[in-house]
Formats: sequence, structure tokens, C-alpha cells
Amino acid sequence: MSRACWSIIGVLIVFLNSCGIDKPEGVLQAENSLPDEIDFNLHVKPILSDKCFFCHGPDLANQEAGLRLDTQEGAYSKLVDTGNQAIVPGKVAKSELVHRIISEDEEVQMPPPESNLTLTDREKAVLIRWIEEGAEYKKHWAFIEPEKTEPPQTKYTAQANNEIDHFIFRKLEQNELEPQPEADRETLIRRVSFDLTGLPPTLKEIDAFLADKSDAAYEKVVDRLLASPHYGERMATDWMDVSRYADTHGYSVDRYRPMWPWRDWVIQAFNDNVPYDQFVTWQLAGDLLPNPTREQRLATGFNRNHAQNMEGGIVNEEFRVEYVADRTNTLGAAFLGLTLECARCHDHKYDPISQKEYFQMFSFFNNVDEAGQISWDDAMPVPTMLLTDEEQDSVLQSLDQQIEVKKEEIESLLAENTAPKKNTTDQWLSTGLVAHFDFDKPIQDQFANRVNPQQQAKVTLADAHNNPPTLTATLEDGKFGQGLLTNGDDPLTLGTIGGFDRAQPFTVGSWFKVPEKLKTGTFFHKGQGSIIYNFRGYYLSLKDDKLEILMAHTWPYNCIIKRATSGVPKDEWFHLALTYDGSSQADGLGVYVNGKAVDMMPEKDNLYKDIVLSTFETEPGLKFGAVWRGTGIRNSVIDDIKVYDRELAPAEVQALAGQRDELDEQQIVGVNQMHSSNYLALLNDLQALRTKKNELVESLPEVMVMEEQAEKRKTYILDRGSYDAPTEEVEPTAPQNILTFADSLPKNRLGLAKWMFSHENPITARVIVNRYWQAYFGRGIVASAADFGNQGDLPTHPELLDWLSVQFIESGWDVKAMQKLIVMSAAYRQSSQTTDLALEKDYDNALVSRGPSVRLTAEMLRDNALFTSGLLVKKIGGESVKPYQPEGLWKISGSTYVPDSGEKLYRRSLYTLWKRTVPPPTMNTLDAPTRSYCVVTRQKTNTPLQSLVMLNDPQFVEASRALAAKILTSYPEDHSTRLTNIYRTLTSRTPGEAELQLINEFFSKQQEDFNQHPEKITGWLNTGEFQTEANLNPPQFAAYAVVASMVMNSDAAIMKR
Amino acid sequence: MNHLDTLSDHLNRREFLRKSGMGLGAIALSAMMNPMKGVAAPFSGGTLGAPHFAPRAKRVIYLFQSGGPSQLETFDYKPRLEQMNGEELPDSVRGGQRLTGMSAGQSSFPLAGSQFSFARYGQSQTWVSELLPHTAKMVDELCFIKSLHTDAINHDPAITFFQTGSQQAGRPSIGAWLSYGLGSDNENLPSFIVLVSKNAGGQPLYARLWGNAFLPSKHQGVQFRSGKDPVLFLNDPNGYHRQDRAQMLDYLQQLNQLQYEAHGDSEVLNRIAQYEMAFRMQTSVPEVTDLGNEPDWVFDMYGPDSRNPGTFAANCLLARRLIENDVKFVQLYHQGWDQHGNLPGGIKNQCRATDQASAALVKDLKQRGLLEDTLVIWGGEFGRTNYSQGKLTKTNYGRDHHPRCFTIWMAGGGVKPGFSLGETDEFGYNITKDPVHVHDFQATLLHLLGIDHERLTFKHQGRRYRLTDVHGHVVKSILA
Repeated sequence: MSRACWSIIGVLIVFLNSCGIDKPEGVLQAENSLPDEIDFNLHVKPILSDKCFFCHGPDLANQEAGLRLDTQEGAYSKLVDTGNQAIVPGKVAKSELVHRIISEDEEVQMPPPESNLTLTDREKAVLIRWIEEGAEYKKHWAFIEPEKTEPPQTKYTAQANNEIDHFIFRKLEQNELEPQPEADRETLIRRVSFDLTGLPPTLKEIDAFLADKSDAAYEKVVDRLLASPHYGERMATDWMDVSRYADTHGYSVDRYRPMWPWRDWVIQAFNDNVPYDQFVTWQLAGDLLPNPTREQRLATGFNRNHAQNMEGGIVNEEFRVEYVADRTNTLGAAFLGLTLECARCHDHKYDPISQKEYFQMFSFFNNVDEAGQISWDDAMPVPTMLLTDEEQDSVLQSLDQQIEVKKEEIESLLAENTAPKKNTTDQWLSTGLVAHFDFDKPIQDQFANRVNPQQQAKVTLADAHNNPPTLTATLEDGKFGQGLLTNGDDPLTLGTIGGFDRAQPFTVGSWFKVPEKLKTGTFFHKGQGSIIYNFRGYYLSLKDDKLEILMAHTWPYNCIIKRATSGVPKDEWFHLALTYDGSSQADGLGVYVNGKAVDMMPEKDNLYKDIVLSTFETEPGLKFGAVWRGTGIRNSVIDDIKVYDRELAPAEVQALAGQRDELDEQQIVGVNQMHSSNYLALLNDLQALRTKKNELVESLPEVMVMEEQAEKRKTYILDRGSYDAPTEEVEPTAPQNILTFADSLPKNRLGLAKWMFSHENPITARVIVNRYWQAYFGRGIVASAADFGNQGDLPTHPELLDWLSVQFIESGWDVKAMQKLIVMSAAYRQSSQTTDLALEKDYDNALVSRGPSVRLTAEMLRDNALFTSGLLVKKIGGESVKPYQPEGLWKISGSTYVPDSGEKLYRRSLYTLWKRTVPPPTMNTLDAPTRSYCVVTRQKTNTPLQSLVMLNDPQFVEASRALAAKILTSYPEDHSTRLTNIYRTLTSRTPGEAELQLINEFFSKQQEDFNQHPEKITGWLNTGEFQTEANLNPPQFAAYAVVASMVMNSDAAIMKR
Repeated sequence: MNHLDTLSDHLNRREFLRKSGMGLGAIALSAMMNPMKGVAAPFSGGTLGAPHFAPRAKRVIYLFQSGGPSQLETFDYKPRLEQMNGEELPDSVRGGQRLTGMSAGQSSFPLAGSQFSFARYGQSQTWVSELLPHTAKMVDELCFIKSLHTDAINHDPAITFFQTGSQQAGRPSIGAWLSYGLGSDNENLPSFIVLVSKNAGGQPLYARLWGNAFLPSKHQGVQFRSGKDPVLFLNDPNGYHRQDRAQMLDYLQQLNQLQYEAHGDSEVLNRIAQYEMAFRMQTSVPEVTDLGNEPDWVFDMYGPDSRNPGTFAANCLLARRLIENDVKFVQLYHQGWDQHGNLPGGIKNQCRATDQASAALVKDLKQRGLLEDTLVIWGGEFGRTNYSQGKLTKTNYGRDHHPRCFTIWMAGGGVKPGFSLGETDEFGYNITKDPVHVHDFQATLLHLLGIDHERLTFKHQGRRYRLTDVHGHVVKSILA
């Protein structure tokens, strides 16, 4: 938007020379209804932010006319174009802003028409009045440290239970509203039971509460609920949305990933009442605490829960950057109530967060040794930790000890230097030889293994499949006889030869002749498709003209990487060999060029799981010259490949490379020692132990965790947020305008957590306390719970929010105490009955003029059906489960949903397996988010599809039947009691006369109808696995089931009032 | 969630219920008797109230070809590639284009000419390959854009970008925006319906492609599936009759009415209305999805697959029926266009499965007079490379993803028939004339529906979001 400002200077000067302005009629009228005091934060800034900041806000690079209105200095300074000031305190006529906002001239008018933004007369009046009164700027409310003010006096003191009520009632008083009396006890116990445990009260619990006449009756209920293990489940449910937890990876290839141990940790943490500062610190930085415990490391899974991409062909770095960005954005929404993501491509348009600060925050999360492309082998994306129990730990420890002992025995045997029998190098080199290919006598483009002619090597199409077609082999002069020319795209495939596991020692040696210009390419590898399988297997390559060996379970973390400072000879034959001792350690890998060991630096030495591909029926073996979807050694010649299932000694490799004449006596003796039967026996034992350990480790569950990589990854500002456009390098720190990141803090995630929980941090406590409030009242004190910035809603009760925040901090971030404080308040306990006055003045209950009334969440609705019908299996935690789901839904993502049976059908909804690309339909229809990204406030909608779920989802139909059966068995005689109990069980409320009459009437009609048309009851009696006793009268039974279903669908059951 | 939006919904519904002046059970029953007529739409208006300007199209059928159909074997004829078959792609043509991880490591990038012959068709003399004989006959109704380009090079980000204007999850889909902006013209069916070809296979799809993201969830696309339960949980328990359900809902309504009297909460009335709508859908959906009463000549036109519910052909026919019933946006997805290898065989099958029905849909709409205000769109998320991914042989080759140019076509509602926009170079690699970005396509789509893409916004977490993010220009040259 470049507007010709010079053309209007003349006009403005005329204005500025006059002493006043002509306010438009509408503005004059609006002035009459302005509040007595215009407050910057309350009245002015929301207008400036929403209508002006986009072009005149914190985004430095995009400030039009060099004007910024978010700071006093900016607003008061002289405009470059006109020399006027946008705002002159107290001087309306001299303030260009005023002329601009009241101008009718499209060339002059602000906001300009093309912005599609307009100011209302009232907004104009507010701005003008504010300037008249001195245009005072104030710091953004959320960035000022909260202070505890004395709870105000109110005339409803008698009704107040705690400090919360003083704030709430005072506000009601100011708005000429009055608090509602306490809800009746049935309503209250239902409300608080759902709110604290996600489950309804039992009839017994209701009766006990009704009968308890003591003053502490309600508090007893609250304490009981807070102590219930279901409390943790209820709190964890909200945390799943925040942490975008799911049981699959997300993105298009959305496969299973078991992270439920992390979810179970969350439940336990809530039940153990882990203080909020610890709860969050562990999740952000548990791994950085001194001597972190298993739980502290497990907790860091929070920052790995984001979606991860398995799609073949993605650019690794592009998605790695997305993951880091997701963590950064989640930090903003979940903990800081800030839309940090807006500052990824440019400075934030509304809040004082620069793009630089975004990447400074980003850098806290940028030091993880992870891949953007996650493995097709269904490996858990790295970094991970193995979830061992004590027994497994001790077994592993014992195996490690035995391995050490065995290694010492081997060492001492070698030192003995007994007189060995004299072997020839030929004898050495035929021992353990499993394959030898010389390319001299091909038969139909296939090359027989000289050691085992049943096996053939052939050039094949590079392909994902196990049996790719054979291609014509191009042969030319080799080192000996003929050699194979590779085009770098079609590999020479050795069948299954070389498909070793990590406990198996081996050696691969071959002759190569590579062209001068080859700088990068893989000589040979055992694996499939390079990064697609995160390099599972082993790869010997040239990378930027330097030798590199990679042996991986899952690159780049669970692997060994060694690099040389040198490359290989060019345009001449050289021998290249790789040896491995089965130790899973970097120093167990050797690379030799022309029989000489190459100096290699270990860059990574962290292989702790196997190197074979778990998703293949037969392990693919060695391939030479090319890598499917990777880089091969184009125009190179290969000859005389030899593979051993043992580690050759250096002297043996030297011999293999044709330099046997240069071996000295000592070397020969040493090697001969290694061929002694004693030595071989020890080696066998060692391999057996390693195999045993490998098998045990493979069986262990593995979870994603955060871990800092040793060498710090540099972070740059990314131009327009794009992964491939790094500019200025930045260091970790937090946004200055919220709170200075103290020099004393470590510049890592732990420092970040400490910054968040330092007492001066203005925002952390407010954000979470507001969300607790939201959980109980259906809306936060700040309605925009994810945005406490300039564009966010203002707190309806700022003093209360601050009081609660400070209270929370002072309590030591005591989560249960805060829940209790809120639910004990009279405000929470109010009846939710609406009056016309309340509706008129407080339509959305922002003032809390009545108790909360919200629809049960997706989880609560389903859990209520399961719980009341007696079907619910109350087990806490464990692997996610697959309840009923209509057939074929997963087909769009190329997979099949196989529902569980038995107990797993009846677990709480928190445990329903969450597939991101096809979320469980019932949950999704009932407003649960997709879990693709952090959500702190759920939508509250009401759609016909929800009605269909409640009416016909088999889970609900089955629950109706189970409830009917339960009622029939529990109350064998009395029909009216049965109906009352169906209603009461589902709604926690005794039905009134009218309700009972309606239900009864409906029941009678249905029963009569079913008697005459028994075919109508099939679905009601057969949906779901639940078996009923045979002695029930079908039409009557079905009629009760239909009644139960109807009540389940009624407002009284669906809403929490 | 936008509080005002909720509020206006409440008020609208209350008003509706007051005005209708009859028992809700009565509505249900009357709807049951005559479901497709329904009652006057009580809250059909979208957030815009009225379109920004006179719409050229009232509804859209989007035949999304998932996987990235090759432009080089379908519409963008490149004889030069055939001449240079097997030669290396010159670096100067590639010009630093980033490649996917699938072919970036290749030692060679051999150009691959189409194995299928091209000819010119219609008065417009449009080039079409032999793979699309039915589409070829319709070219004078179609408006081709041969110069689409996108930012993404892999499926998930690319489809997400096309459908939501952002490569990452979290923004509403086109259909959700339309539902939000324009509302619904039909009280008995959702305004945004999604159909996915059964058994097409290929790259996965995901529900968020028709998701509402931060828009109210009533705007999300509803997937209609083939089979007995076209909408999830549409069917009542076995044996339970429509009248039984009506009776149950009638009692339910009375129970809820008591609740309303006790609490005075309009949310109760809202829920009552939703149950009524659900009930009407239970009748209207099976009726509209039942192709049984279509005459033989219609099936013949759409091809033999159209008798097999859930196929692309059957879905095209169903899309027409939905449009006839005033559904605003029908999005079909057909997977399987991702020919990295074995392209000649693969694309042949894809074309066979989609050609006849796509052409028939345009023809059918035209003869029913619906084409003039219905926009039909055919296209995928990106194009394919001019070089072979993997081995190029005499009979076989593959093509990797190509973001720099690809072809889509549109027909009907406000676009020029028999027209073609944009050109690519002789290698089919770069655009040489009239580039159209995905955001431009989205802006144009909204424009055709009477919406200024810069003014259909939703404020979420402080920011006004729109389908085209901060980009997009209406492609005026294709407007009729």
C-alpha cells in the first residue's frame, strides 16, 4: 500500500493551522456514550491493534510511512512524509491521525479502503477523546506482572464462599446483576463430578450427598473427587488437546506410534498432584535436569508429540524445521498465550515479538538429533529412550558384564602369543568367506557366487520391492578379468548376502575404479532406500570427497557415523574394505583403502538397536554402486567382491588387498592366533551374548524423548520462515517485552522453563489459571485462552485473574488446590438458570451471573453412556484401544481399522486410539480437535451429525440396552422405579411428574408396538457385543432400551447445567 | 469460536422456531412425508449475508485428481520431449528447481516423451491425448489452465495447500470457507459434501482436507460413503422404522421442551432443531444417494462403472444429483495419479476410470441447464517432471512430482468455454506465459461464486484469516 502522501500535505496544513476539528456528526453522537475514563489498555489499544497495527505496528519491515502506533515514541514522532505527528497529546487538531480517521477522502482516509478495515464512529470517538485527554500509553496488561489485590467488598458477602466470589459478585453488582442461588444438590454433584473426574456421580453418591446435612457435605464430595484416580484422567484429557497427542504420526502416511506411556505419565502426574511448574519443566526440559529420572525423560515426549512426516520424497530439512516450529508455536499457545507463529515469516503484526525473537525461541528446540523424514520401517522417530523395568535393567546389566568379561578373556588370549600353527594367507582368506563375485563368467546377466553357486548377484532396477527385474549388466576391463560398470542408479544386488544383524561381525571388501569427478556416492550398502528407512543397515560412501561409514538403526540418532578426512584414489583401481566386530560401537568399524586402515573420526556412536529391517520378510542384502532414491557411484567399475561373516584382522585385510608380501612375522603370528580354536570359541560366546542382548533390546518398548545433541546446531533467522533461506544467526533467548531472559539462566530448554516460572514472568500463571477457569465455566476470564496478546480478548475480571495467578504461584503451583478453590466458590456453585435480565445483560455468561451450563465433551458423553450402563472398564492407562467404528473409514488413508473386542470396547474415551488423519468419528463429530496441532479451547457446536451419533452410534445403542438390562435386573418388580432410575442414572436428576409421564407414555407405546412387531427390536437387542440374560422379555426389554436411548439424547443428559 | 456467530445462530434458530408456529414433531413428520421439500431454510445465510457481487456460479463440483496427474500425457502436448527422448534434462531448464528426495539423488535425468499420441479437437482445436477420448469431445465446453504452479513438492503439503491455502494443517478447506461465507441452500443436506472413489488406492487422503479447522465445525465437509450407511450413523438400529424414530423424536422434543421451560436456555431449542435436521437427513440422504431411479441412458453416458456405487463414475453421477438438490460444494477425490514408475500403464488405467464420467458430468449438467451456474473443476495438486524418475526404457518410465507447471480444467459457471490459458516451454518444465498460482486459482474460484477473496475472512487468535492467506489475484482472463 503505497499512498501518495505529498498530495495531501496542503490539505493537512490547513487543518493543522486551525485550532480545532470538525468532528463528524456520528462521532459527536458516539461521544455521548463514552465511558467516563478512557483507558489505553481497555478502550484504545484494542482499536489501534485491530485496525492500525497491521501496517503501523511492531512489524518493523512493513511499517507504512515509517509510523508505528504500538509505542508512544513511534506515535509521537514526526512523520517522514508530512512532518506532522500522528498523535500530539492533548492536541487533536495537530494530530494527523485524527484528520486521517475522520476524512472522507479515500486518498487520505485511515484505515485505507483497500485494507477492508473500517473504524466505527464510536471507535473514532474513543481515539479522539483519548488524544484529547493526553494520549497516554500503557504497557500491555498481560505483560505487567500480576499483583494480588485485596478482594473487593460486595453486598453479597454473605453468599461468598471464598475470594473468587468477592471479585465476581462485585462485578455483578456493578452491572446491576445478582448472583444466582446455589444449584440444587443433584445438579451440583453432577456438575462437579464431571468437571473433576469426567464421569457422572453414581446414584449412591447422589443419595449420600442429598442425605449429608453437614456444612462440609459439598467439600467432602470435592475432596473425594480430587482423590479419585479418575481425576488424573479428566485433567489429562484436556492436556491431550494441548499436547496434540495422538497414536499415529500424522501427515499423509499416518502410521501407528505407541506413545501411550507418555500419556499415562500425564495421568499419573495429575493424580500425584505434581506442581504445575514441575509438571511443565519436566515436559520442556526433564532431560536437562541433574541426573534425570526415567519419568523426567519420559515427560519430554511432550515436545515430540507433534505430527511427523513419513511421506517418501520429502525434503528432510523442510520437515525437521516444521517440527521445531511446531514446538515453538505450541510453547506459545500452550504456556504463554501468545501467537508466536505469527512472527515466523516477519515481525509479529500485533504483538511486540520480532521475527528474530521467534527464531531465538525456535533455537531452544532446534538442537534435537532428529530426522524430518521418519522411517518407513515403523521405527520410533529418534531420539528415543527404551522403557525398561527393573528386571530388564538388571538383565541388561548382567549381559553387559558378561560381555566385558568375555572381551577381557579374548584380550588375554591374544596377549599369550602361544606358538600357533602356521597358516597361509590363503587359508585365512578362505575362512568365513561367504561370497565372492568376480564378474568374469556371467550367465544371462547373473553372476554366481564362487563360494555358493546357488546364489547370484545381478544388476536390478532400483526399487522398493523385494524382487525387482534384472537388467543388462555392462562389463568392461576389471582389476582381474572383467569388472562391472555401474550407472549409479541401478544397483548390483547380492540377494540376501550381507544381511547381518548388529551382533554379527563381518567384512566386505571389493575393488573399485571411480571417475575423478565423483565426490558423493555410496560404494555399497545393506539397506533400503537411504533416508526413507532412515539408513537402517550399513552404508560405505564418499561424501563431499571424504569416506563415511554409517551403520544405523534409525539415523541420525540411533546409529554410528564415522568420517575420514580423506577420500579414495580416482581413475585407478583401489581396494576398499569395511570390517565390523559385532560390538555396536564406532571403534568396532574399520575402513581400509588398499589394505591400509583409514583414520576415521566417530561423529556419532550411539547404536542401541538392530540394523535389520523389521518390516521385510527376508532381509535385503548388500547392494553395490547405487542406492534406491539415493546417490550411487556413477560410471565406476567394480570388481572382485568378497564378503566374510567374520571381522578380518588388519593383516588379513592387507592380504585381501593383495599386499600379503609386506606382512611381517609378528602380524602373521597374531593372525594365526585368531584362527586358533580357543580364540574362535571365545568369539562365538561373545557373539552369543551380544545376540541375546540384541534380542532383549528389540523387545523393549521405545518412546520419543527430547535430548540435546552434542554439537549444537546453529539457528538462523529463516527468511519468510522458509527452511532453505537462513540469514542471521541467533542464540536462544526469550522475547524481551515479556520478560528479560536473565544472563544467569542456561541458554537451553531448562533455562527457558526457569524463565517461564520465574516470579517476574507476567504470563505463565495467568495463562494456565485462565484455562482452569475455562474448564469449569466454559469460557476463560480471558475468552481467547490461546491469545493474551494485543488482539486477544481483555480479561472480564482482570483483578480476579491476577489474584488467582499470584495465589497459584504462592501455593507452589498446587494444581489440585487451585481446582478446589474454583469449584468451592459460590460462583461455580450457582444455579445455571437464566433470567431474562441475565440474558439481556450477560448473554454469554462472561460475568458469571449464573452457574456454568455447557454440553458434555465428546469424551464425557461416551463415558457417561458406558459408565451409567455399567459397561465401563475402569482400568487406568495402557495401550490405546479400538472401540467400534464404522467399517472402511481408514480406507482413505490406505489402512484398515480392526476393532477390538471384549474389555477394550469399554475403556474410557481418553484411551481410544487416535489416528490423526481419520480421527475417531464420534469424538471428532462432537468437537474434539484433530490433534494435528495444539488446541487450548474446543469448539462448541451443535450439529445434526452429532444427533446421529447420539442416536445411532453402536456404542450408544449398546449402552442403552445394557442400561435397560441393568435396570430390569436391579428392579425386577417396579416399572415406575425402573423408569425413574433410567432417567436418574443418565441425568443425575430425579425426573419430575411431567417427565416421568412422558417417558412412561412413550414406553407403553413402544412396548405395545414391539409386541406386535417383534422385527423392530432386532437392532436394539443385537447391536454390540454385550450379552444380556436370556430370561428378559424381548419387547419389554427393547422398550426400556429405547427409553434409555431417548433419555441419553435429551438435554438433561447431554448438558452439564 | 466466534461468539457473535454463535449468538446469531441462536437468535436465528429461535426466530425460526417461533415463526414456524407448529410443534416440532409436526415438522418432523411433514418432513418425513416429503423430505426433499423440507421447510424453508431457516438459517441458510452464510456470514456474508449476500455475495459481494453477482455470482457466476452457485455451486461447485471439484473433481480432485489426487496424486498429481501428468500434464505431459494428458493436455500439455510436448513433441520436443518425444524428439529428445532419453537425452539429459539441461541444467538451464531445471534452473535450480528443488527436487523431491525420490529423484534428487539420480545420476541422470533423462527426458521422457509421452508414449501417447495427441490430436486437436473441437472448434477450439485443443490438444488432448488419446488417453482421454471422452474429454476430447467436450473440449469446447472446457476452460484449460496450462500454467498452474504451486509451492509444494510433496503430496501432503501440496494437497493441503490446494484445499486450504496453507501447506501445513490448520486452515479451513475451500468447501468450509464457502459454507461459512455463503451458507446452505438446502435444509436437508449438508452444504459441503465429499465423495471419495472406492478402491482407487494410491496416496492417502485425510479428513482434514475437508476439515473446518478454526471455522465452526458445522462447516466441515461431510463424507458420503457408498454402501448402506452413506453418512456416519445415519441408519437407525435394524428394524426400527421411520415412524418409530419420528415418535421417539417427538417425545424427545417434549422432554427437551420441559427442559427449555425450566432453564430458558436457547441452546435447548438449537438442539431440538438439530435433531429435526438429523431426522430429515435420514430420509433425504438415502434418497439422493440412491441412483436406482436414474434411467439407463444416464448410466450409459457416465459409463459402466457408474452402476457400481462408490466408483468415480458413480460419484460423478451422484455429484450431479447433489447439485440438483442445491448442495453448494461437492468435492470428489480420486486417488492413484502418482506415477513415479510404470507411468504408461498406470496413467492409462487412471484415465480409463475417470475420462468418460468427467466428460459425461459436464455434458449432463449442460443438457439440464445446470452448467451455466455450476462450476466443474478437474485437476490435481501438482504436475509431473519431464524427465524419467527411475529407468527410462522404450516402453516404460516414471515421472516425479513437478510444481512448476501443470494443467487443470474448469467448466461452466462463469468461465470461458473452449478456452486455454497459459503456456509452458517446449520441455514442459517452465511456464512461459500467464502463470497461475494456487492462490490465484482459489481467488478465482471464490470470485466466480461472488466472493471477494480478500473480504471473506475469519478472525482467529487475533488474525483475520482467509483462504488465499495474503496472496491471490483473480484470473480475469478466464472469466466468461
